[in-house]
Amino acid sequence: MGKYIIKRLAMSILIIFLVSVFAFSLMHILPGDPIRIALGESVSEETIAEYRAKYHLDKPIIQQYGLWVEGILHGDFGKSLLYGEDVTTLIKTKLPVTMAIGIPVVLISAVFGILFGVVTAVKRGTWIDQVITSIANIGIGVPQFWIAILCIFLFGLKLHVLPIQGYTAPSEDFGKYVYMAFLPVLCLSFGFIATITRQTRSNMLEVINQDYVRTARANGISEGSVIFRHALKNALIPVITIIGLQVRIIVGGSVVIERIFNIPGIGALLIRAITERDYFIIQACVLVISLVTVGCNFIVDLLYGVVDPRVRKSWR
Amino acid sequence: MKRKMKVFFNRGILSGICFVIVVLLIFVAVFAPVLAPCDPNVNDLRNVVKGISGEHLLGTDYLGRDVLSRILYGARISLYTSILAGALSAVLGILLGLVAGYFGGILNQTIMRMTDAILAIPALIFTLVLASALGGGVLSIVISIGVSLVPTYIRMVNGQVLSIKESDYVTAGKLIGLKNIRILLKHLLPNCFPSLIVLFTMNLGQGIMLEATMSYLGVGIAPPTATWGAMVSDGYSYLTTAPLLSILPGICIILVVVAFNVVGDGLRDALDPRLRGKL
Repeated sequence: MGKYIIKRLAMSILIIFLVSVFAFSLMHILPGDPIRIALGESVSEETIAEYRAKYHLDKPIIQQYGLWVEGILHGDFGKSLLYGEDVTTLIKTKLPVTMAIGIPVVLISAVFGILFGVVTAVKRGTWIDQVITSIANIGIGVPQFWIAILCIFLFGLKLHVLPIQGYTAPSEDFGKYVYMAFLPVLCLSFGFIATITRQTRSNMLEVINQDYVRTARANGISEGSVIFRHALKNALIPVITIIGLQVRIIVGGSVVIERIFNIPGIGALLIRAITERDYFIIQACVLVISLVTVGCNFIVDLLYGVVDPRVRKSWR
Repeated sequence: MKRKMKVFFNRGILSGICFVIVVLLIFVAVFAPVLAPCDPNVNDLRNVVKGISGEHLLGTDYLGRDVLSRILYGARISLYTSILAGALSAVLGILLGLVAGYFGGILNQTIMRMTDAILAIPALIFTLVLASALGGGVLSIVISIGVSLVPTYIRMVNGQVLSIKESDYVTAGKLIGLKNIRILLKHLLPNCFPSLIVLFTMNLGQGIMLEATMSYLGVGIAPPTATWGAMVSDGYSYLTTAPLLSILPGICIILVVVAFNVVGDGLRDALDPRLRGKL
């Protein structure tokens, strides 16, 4: 098992390395000077030379990359091109905000997605199944920004029951955090609940018709126990993969949701950096976001072993 | 063929409706200039944010432009970018997937790890960042969406090639001295076709969604070009007075994305039911 974990860890580090090369080379894809693009045409040659020296842009590319990675390993992501802000501090303040929205989304989507998936599979063909499955089918095609606008229109502007923008940290005032984060979390969860529902339903349908489930029923085990202890346990393995993959999409979706609800998270920071072409912030955001997704996938891989003894066996 | 069409349309009324939506989208995209009652980019500042009327069937936006015409032209942009991006990703992905699967070894490792790296970055963030680095404009949107969709093709083609390259007919081909390129293109590629068609259809929906989200965030195709995402964004400021401005283009996006997904599902069942649960 130790060998397997080390192998997976090495793979994750390799992926992070490749992402760092991608993030770094972004600035060098286009011909032209990133400093000039960021500061505009009216800046004097001396200022540009000064900036180039300050950000090591006058050095060879390989050395620039080396310096950048060295800085990151020392916990220093560099400085913002436009405002001179410390990027590490920016990330440290913004990442917890994105997490405070993202983690409830994962939990809520997993719970409701699995629940709806089980219900639709067990009640296959009834009106409950048809209603939930139809909503789930549509849910996958609904753009996050549109569902957010619809919720703002309905809950914020028509019913006046929920705030339409802003954010309070859970450590500051938990009640207010729940109140403020309710709509963003709801909007982000919608699509994921739909995806997880569909996946759970199709896995459950496959499992429910297998012999051991019939045997369990024949032995007189209660229906609830058959569904949850025998069938669901086996249906969950592909669902865990989907949940692991969703983390990536939830982080991506935070870009949209943070913008609409005016939440000061890492997604909003990234969009600001993209519109202002602040490459050092873009690089850092891309790297940190992929660290989160790769980390989650690593955990999901280990979870397989916990859920499925067959996987654990293959690790040896 | 007849049997396959029967399987496709027997999946229920939803498949039929979605098929009609896709056909309608293509029709509207092709004939937008003929169908649109007005020029989508002509401002009329005396008639801004007007509701539904005889002259403007779906009203006008904040610059007095005809909403119906802009939705029709928006269909064009959506379909155009997603087909181009889809084609780009299919060509790149098939090529890399075939090579990775067939030659194996270090080549396979390199290509597959690059794929993992792209997948480690959320698709939306990848396209946003790449498009901004490429400088914006339709072409950079197409390239960035295309590249972000490549991994799905590489993984699928690679998997299929790995499973069929040990088949007897491939070994026989090698024994009679067929060139690698001939085995790849004439014997391995055709086996991937059913899944490729399904993946391409589903990716069209994905591409439309990405393009709309980018336009919504203002990093996509530049105004005044009519795109559904930008229309939702523009209409947001008038949510209290004219909610339809935001809601209508959004409904178009949903219909089209769901339609491509359902048609993709149907094609999968019709072309190769064994793919169920894999795609």
